[in-house]
Amino acid sequence: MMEKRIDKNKLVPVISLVVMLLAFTAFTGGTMLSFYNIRMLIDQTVVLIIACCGTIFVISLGSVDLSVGVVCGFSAVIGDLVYRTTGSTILMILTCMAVGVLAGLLTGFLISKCKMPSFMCTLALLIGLRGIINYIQSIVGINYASDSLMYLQKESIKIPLLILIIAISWYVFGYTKFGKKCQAVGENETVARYTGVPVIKTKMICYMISGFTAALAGIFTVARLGGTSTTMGTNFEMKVLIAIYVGGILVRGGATARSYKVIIGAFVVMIIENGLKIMGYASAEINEAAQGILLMVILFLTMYFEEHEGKTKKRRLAKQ
Amino acid sequence: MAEKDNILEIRGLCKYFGSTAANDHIDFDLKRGEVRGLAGENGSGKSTLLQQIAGIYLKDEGVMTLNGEPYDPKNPIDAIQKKVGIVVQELGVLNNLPAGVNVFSGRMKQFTKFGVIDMKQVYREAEALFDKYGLMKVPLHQMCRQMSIESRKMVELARALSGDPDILILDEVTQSLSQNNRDMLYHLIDLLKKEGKTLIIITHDLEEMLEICDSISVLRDGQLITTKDSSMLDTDEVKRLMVGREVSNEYYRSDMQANYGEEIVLHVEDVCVPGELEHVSFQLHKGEILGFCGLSDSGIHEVGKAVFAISSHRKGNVVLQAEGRIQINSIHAATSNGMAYVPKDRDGEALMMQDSILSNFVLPSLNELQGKGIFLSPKKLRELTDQGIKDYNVKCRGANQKMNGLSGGNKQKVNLGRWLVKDLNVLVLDCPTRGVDVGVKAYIYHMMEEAKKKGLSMLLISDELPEVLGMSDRLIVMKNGRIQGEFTRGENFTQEALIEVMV
Amino acid sequence: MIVILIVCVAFNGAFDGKFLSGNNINILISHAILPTFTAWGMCFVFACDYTDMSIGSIIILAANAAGILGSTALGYPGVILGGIVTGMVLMTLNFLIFVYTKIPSWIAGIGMAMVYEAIAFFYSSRQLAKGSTIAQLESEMRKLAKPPYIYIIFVIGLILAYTIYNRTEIGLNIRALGNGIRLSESMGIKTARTIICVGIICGFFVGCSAFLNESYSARINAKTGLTSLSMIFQPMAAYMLAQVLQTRINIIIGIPLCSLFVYGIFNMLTFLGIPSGTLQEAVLGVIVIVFGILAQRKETRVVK
Repeated sequence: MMEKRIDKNKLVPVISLVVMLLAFTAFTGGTMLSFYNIRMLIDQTVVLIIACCGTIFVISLGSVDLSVGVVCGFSAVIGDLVYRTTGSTILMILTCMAVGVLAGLLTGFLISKCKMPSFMCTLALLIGLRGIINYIQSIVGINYASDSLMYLQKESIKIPLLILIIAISWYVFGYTKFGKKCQAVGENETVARYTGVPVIKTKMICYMISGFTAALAGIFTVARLGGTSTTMGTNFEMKVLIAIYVGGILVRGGATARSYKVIIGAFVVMIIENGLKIMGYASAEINEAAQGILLMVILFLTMYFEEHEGKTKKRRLAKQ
Repeated sequence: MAEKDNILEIRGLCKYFGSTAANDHIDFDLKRGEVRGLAGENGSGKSTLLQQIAGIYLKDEGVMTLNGEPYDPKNPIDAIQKKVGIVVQELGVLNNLPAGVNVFSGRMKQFTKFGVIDMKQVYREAEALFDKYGLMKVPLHQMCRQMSIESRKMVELARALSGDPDILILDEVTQSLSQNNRDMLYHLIDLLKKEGKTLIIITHDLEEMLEICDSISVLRDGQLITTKDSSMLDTDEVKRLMVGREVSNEYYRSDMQANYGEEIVLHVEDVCVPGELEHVSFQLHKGEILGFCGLSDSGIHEVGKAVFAISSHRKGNVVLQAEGRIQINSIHAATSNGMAYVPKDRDGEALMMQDSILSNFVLPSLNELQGKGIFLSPKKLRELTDQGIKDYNVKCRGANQKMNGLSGGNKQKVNLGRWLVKDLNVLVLDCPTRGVDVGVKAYIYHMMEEAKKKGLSMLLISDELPEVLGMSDRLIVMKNGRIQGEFTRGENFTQEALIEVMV
Repeated sequence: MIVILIVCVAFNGAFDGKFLSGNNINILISHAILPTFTAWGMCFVFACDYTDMSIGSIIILAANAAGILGSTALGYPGVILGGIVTGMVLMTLNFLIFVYTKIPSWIAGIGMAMVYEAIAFFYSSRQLAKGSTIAQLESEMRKLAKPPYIYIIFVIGLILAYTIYNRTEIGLNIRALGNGIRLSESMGIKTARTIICVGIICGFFVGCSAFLNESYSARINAKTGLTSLSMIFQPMAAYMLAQVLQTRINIIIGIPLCSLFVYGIFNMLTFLGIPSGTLQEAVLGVIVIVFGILAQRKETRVVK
């Protein structure tokens, strides 16, 4: 009865990771795999993975969150304001988290209750909040983060925290009814509704989780960069999306969303960015073009495999 | 070999949808100038056959000959140009375009001068068309979105007639028409017949079919069973041919008396849904199967949605008598108190087609399966699904197979089974046997009887009269969103009595 | 309508008649015309249920092409052709990709926007490295965006958009596609061809918008980090508002009016001293959300 078949879709992330790793190791003449560089790579990927851990919930709904980057920047800027007035690092971190959750609540509300298309709503947020960030920064200027925040940059603290976040996300997404319900909404919202999934509540919570992890990513970014800036989080949402889609998750979300895929995806994205940098193409436009093309190619491949598989299945069934 | 008076000849036509053959080697001849009826149960392949003739679906195998020449329409415009017009059952009209444009859409070339369409001419010609065939007048400048179903059907009819077709196909046109428009349609059919046109007609109403058609072809499970003159048939004979002999009475429940508990499980009190239902009240007893039937748009499907709190703007009360009186005001209230709803559109509203059997099967039971520390054990999910597959005899490759690889019947077994493993109070079934083959149908009835014995109360909503008659303890007939009559098993429980009230 | 007029007059009073002065109205109208062309283009895209997020970056590229050709011997025809041809080619490319890769258009549009942004940025940084600036139109070449020419172009555009949208087979087919591919196909519409035509038509209007933009502001700087997306927000807001009013007024005619309304708000904000580029962006975001909600009010389908 049981028949083990390897799903091509599941192979896409692994293959792309291996291919990218080998290709860039070759291009960079091995610099890629130097101890120093690997440490750098992991360090750079931390923020991305954290954001992905939350955004995967939104993606599993079949929706999208383009406001990850701007929420990351916005929460950091607000947190920074609080730090300036109170001087308390704890308060700053708490504020960041609260801002992220609130931003998620707002998007979640607009998308579930007001039925705005998610990409349009989060895009509006992207533009609007960026405006506010620029406004605030133009008044207060650049500031340096508190010393106590710098502890986050220590690997002995950073890595365990990262693992904790991954573990929680993995557990909630894969092994609780909430995760299953998110996937059900992504697969077919009507089905989910008729089987008693509170769709609106689920969507709101997903966006709140996404906002929360975006804020966490913001805190880690501040710790890494040592302060806030107007450009913080720019293009970050695209990196997150690319990581998720490179991992082999389809745009429609649902059952194709898996935790391991986003982590692999995040590494692929960072390897490309890092590899290009080592090869001397550090400029923003090449990076952006590479990401854009990569996004399209990956989306095309995952969709092609999915469709192709569907077709062969149909043909096989028709023959029976 | 082509007979001269055959306008259309079809040989060995096949059409597959996934694993099922919707049309299985059909040979079909149409005489010039005849009115042919097409009878068959839901899913027997009638519409599929007609849509291939009209170029909406492309055939997979077989040959068609029109007027002695090979005929292979690539799209509906092709068919219209070869003078084959169709009014389809489900597709409808382009909602965001005006009615007049709809009539000619896709064929605007004739009105185009220097690349610009002469809109006045479009509307004039559309108007002329409505006049010529005596169709009910509709506001041609209005967007179709704002029109009634009946007006939209008129637009579709005008569209089909606009190519001056030699063969006109009408797929379930009458069911959405009021009586005077039906009369209009009968006149139109007479008129076309006098002009020497050929018509193919599908209608649920077998008496209507016998009256207007010269001959009738019967389809069953994608195969053409027979073609006979109407004068040699009566409704019982057609039904017998449609269902096939092998399914006799043991198909349905064998007991002929109503049989259910005293206790009332569900009170539905004065439920109104704007534009759908008016003052619907009834009670459901423990272990009862309460049937609902009516013509289309009678509101039977809406009853299911209203009971389950899916309809928006519902007024009135739905009260579940479980541990205390529970108001059912949201889907969540329904599902968390042991109610379940099996929608009519199985692939679109009940199952996640791209997901595994496992995900689909466990979805309603997630709350019960959750263990300590909100942990959902993959092992438990697996066990439940494997047990379900075994208990309900689902033919599949295993719990991880994707849903869309299953046949219609097996999908429905998963769909029903996942609810029946739960400890339910009320199960709302909307056309549970739609699009499944005869064997699974019998199996589903068996499942329902078993559940009934355990004390489960069910609402059975169905388009098929024999089904509700065969399974229900009591039966409510609806018309225009209102309850029209109630019948009890064993007392005047016949199709004739129902139709009396339904129409 | 009346409310808007009262607000305008009241606002005018508050700023000593500056708001409704002839000069300001002139600025207002010419400024509203720029996004109008883009919105007309988007109108065709949305009509067939597609979305294209790369329009902003296409405008940048097309405007630069118009600038380059305008500075050569080609003169005005160069400006116009440069804008329109670039717009059409890139939009057509987009729609080819949408149709044949079947990637959902909104995300494919974002991907393309990244590529186009990078090209524009690559060009401008190369120019900078050479010590010259990016394509720039001399002031005598910028008459296209000044009255009366801008009004003439506007009227031509209006007639074209109206005719194509309401009075041509392709326009009707595009709108038919909005009812779903399957239904349109059963009506005999060649869907792939129609969708690519959307690209061509939209590209034309986007191209017009591009050369007008270039003429208006002499140079359009490259943008990175998807900030070019913000360029389509103003037209999108106008489009969505026009869509809400669709039952009363034809959308093609509604768009310039709504565009005027949206730009009027920004003009007022500027008068109120709210800095553009920062808080005005925030207001833009809010406007898109509000109009988006209005436009989705009656939506009963599942929205992702």
